[in-house]
Amino acid sequence: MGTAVEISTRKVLSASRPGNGLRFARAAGKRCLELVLLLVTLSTLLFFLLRASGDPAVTLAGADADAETVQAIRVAYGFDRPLFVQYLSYMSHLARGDFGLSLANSEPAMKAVLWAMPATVSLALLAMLLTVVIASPIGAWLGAAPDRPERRATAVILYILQGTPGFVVALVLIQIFAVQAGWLPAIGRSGLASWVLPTVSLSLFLAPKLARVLAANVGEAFKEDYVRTARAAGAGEGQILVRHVLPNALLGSIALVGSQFAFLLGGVVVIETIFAWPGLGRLLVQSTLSLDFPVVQAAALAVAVLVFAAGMLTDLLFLAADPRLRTQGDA
Amino acid sequence: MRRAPVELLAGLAILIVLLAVAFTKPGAFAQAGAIDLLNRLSAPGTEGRLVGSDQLGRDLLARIVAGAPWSLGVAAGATSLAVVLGVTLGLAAAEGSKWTRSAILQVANLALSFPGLVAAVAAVAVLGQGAVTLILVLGLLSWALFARVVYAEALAVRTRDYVVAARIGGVRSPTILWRHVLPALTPSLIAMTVFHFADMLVAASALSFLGVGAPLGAPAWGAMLAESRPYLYQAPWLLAGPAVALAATVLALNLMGDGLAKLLSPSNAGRRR
Amino acid sequence: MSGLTIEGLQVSAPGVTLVDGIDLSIAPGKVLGLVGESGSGKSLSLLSIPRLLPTGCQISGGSVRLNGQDLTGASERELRALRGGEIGVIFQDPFKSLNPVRRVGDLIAESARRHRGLSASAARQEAIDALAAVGVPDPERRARAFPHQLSGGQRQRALIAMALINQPSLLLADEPTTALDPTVQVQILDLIRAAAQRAGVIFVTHDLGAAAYLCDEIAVMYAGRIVEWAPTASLIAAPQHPYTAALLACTPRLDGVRPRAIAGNPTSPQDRPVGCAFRPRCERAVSACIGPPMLLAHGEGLAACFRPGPGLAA
Repeated sequence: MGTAVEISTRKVLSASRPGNGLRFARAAGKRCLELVLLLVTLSTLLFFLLRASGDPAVTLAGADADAETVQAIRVAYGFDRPLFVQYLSYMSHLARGDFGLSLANSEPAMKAVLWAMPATVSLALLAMLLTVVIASPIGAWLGAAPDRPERRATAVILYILQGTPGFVVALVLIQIFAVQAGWLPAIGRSGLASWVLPTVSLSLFLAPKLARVLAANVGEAFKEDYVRTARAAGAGEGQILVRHVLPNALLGSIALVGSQFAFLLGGVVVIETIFAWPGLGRLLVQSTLSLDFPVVQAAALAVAVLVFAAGMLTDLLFLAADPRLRTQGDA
Repeated sequence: MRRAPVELLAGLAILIVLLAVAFTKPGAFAQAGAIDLLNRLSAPGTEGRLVGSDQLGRDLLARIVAGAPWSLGVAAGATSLAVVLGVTLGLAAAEGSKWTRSAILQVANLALSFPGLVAAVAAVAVLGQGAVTLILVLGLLSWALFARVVYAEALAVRTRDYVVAARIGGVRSPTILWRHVLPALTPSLIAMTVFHFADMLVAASALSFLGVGAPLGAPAWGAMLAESRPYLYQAPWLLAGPAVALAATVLALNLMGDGLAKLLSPSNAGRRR
Repeated sequence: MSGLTIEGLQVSAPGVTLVDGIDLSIAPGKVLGLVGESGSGKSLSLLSIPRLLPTGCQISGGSVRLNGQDLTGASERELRALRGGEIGVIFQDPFKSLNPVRRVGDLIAESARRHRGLSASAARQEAIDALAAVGVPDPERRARAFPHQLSGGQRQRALIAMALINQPSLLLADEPTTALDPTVQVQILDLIRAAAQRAGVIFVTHDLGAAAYLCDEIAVMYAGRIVEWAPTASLIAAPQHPYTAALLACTPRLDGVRPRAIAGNPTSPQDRPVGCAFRPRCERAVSACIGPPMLLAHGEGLAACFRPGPGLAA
């Protein structure tokens, strides 16, 4: 679930201490190499795994095709060549960016992936935005006075919501708002209203955790000495919350936001299936179930790259936001 | 006797309630498959069916109860596999040579970024539908979570004074691992295991929702959720039943995990009650 | 009527009295040292003036008046107007007392804007001037810097600048030099003395040497009460209370005279002995010491003892 972000973040952080520029470039370069290694290993594994999971020629030919048709298809697509030869040819194509043609519609596999990517990325961005927008005020409110009864009750609700699996939340929301009340469409990506349920489902699943982490950070920050300094300078509780506590609390939540964003980019297969959202997740499901190898490989690699990009973005956000990393300390 | 944290008690309470409900259906396994087309989609409370019946007239509560062992069994198996693999490899990475460490960490990275769905479908195609397949897939993809935590903590523990002292005293590595490093990790490992169990339960349900892994007609909760979709309007209980079962179980597990973490954490050890 | 007057101040937490009725006064231009061991209640006494007590503690009796204004009964709003304005506070640990994600100059300017309604640019300039006034080199660059870019001594100076920027008439310093290197300590102490020209200063410390260097008068606290209060010179030369004498005797010295530890252990707030709290450890204790302690005039100051006199010193 995108938690490789955290380890790599630590690596980049430690590389960006005194000695910046060059060290950071080297660390980034090292991670790009890791990505390449990952992609190569991933595609290799996928290649062999998929070939082992069924005979695509049979699937393509259909249930009641005769042996001749199947064989003809096999030859036409090159499935009759030795596995190793197929692999070499496949890898050399990959190196040139050629993922082959989709077995379903003979379009370039990468085209289907590129066509589906915006849907996933835009949903991820919107859901992440909504999550942060929901979680921030709630987290700040909770953390500022955690012992009051109404806040304890809220914490309990958040706890329950956080534990409920995302797709269950989605199904329940569909039930309430689409099926019973008919207010919002349950399927597809057409029109503004169709964005609501998928985005809200994802946010309702992710926001509780962010809110709780934020609340914990806020609570901790209030105990810090610099809050005491601000109080001694006459600041009111509200000013302290906004000007002193929240910036530090939000900083501490960047890691979680990063991993949640990575999760959104790579892991919302079920949500996309439920809402028939035309994104990478649904593409992955359809192509996997229909053994459309080229598309599966292209989609899986695309997801891996997206998750990696999310990680890099988080690192950059860290660097940009934390002054202790941006500048060198003299002390 | 240390007082048990409220989370632990709450989680246990929920589990007990769930178990009690399950025990009202001693014949669940038989009833789960009993098709009764005359009484399809009957609402909760009719014909003595507490939660109603599904599209084939089967008692929904019986199906939920019967589905529990399947889902829970897969989750338990996957968690065990992940823990065993993860702890072993994590320790190996912490103690081993630079090459070993680097190799293990790279494989861990790969395991974590491998698309779960693809792996599950491929595994099902090779090994067939069934709990064992899912256990293998989920376990093999998630051990890295334990490995990373064990690796990081083992590294930290290695530098602690009593471990260094043992090493200087000539104690051999495996003994050090077993007697000193592992016990220090156990508290957080236990809590993590419980949480992981909950995650595996959700993952198994998600996979069976998509139709991967659960044999056709098996009362897996995820599959039941998927089956409920065409009937959402007439029979909302088809969704509510398994959803509540799943959510309640996950909630109970989360509570117990938090409770165990509190109970076992070193900062609790010295508290007087 | 200017200056600070404290009468019968009591601070307690649930079930225990931490500060048991103290009287103090300070006028602008003077430095008063509040000396004692950990747990003597000196920090709590100091923090009750602007009512910045830690959670759980509260003022349970007595009064605090600053320039004629009653502070103990004042509302939170009134106190907020005073904190950072009329009352400046300096705390102990400069390393954690500055918000790490804000620039130092902004933090100082924030206080100036709040209390004097300055514009952003005017406040920024004031902050730079304040940093210069406390001896921070290259104040413009330092004002734009973040706390982690400053050394410990510079951070403490910045905090002092923040406390002084609105010309307070009362400066409260809670062990401001404890966390700093000895060479830096003297510089900070000199800064505080310079600030005393306009303000009254209360300097809390457990370091008798620092107190002797900086303060005009010293009040010694033990177990929540003031046991002696006298001008610095006479307190050091001729301590009247046995505890003061013992404190002086157990301070490590550079002239070869061996320090003498005080027998026994400090009492915890929960089980204070009846009467004089120092009685169990005192060499001069008599039966009368079980009675309520009172500050009586002895020599040039006050001491809460029936058998005052240097006795144990030197």
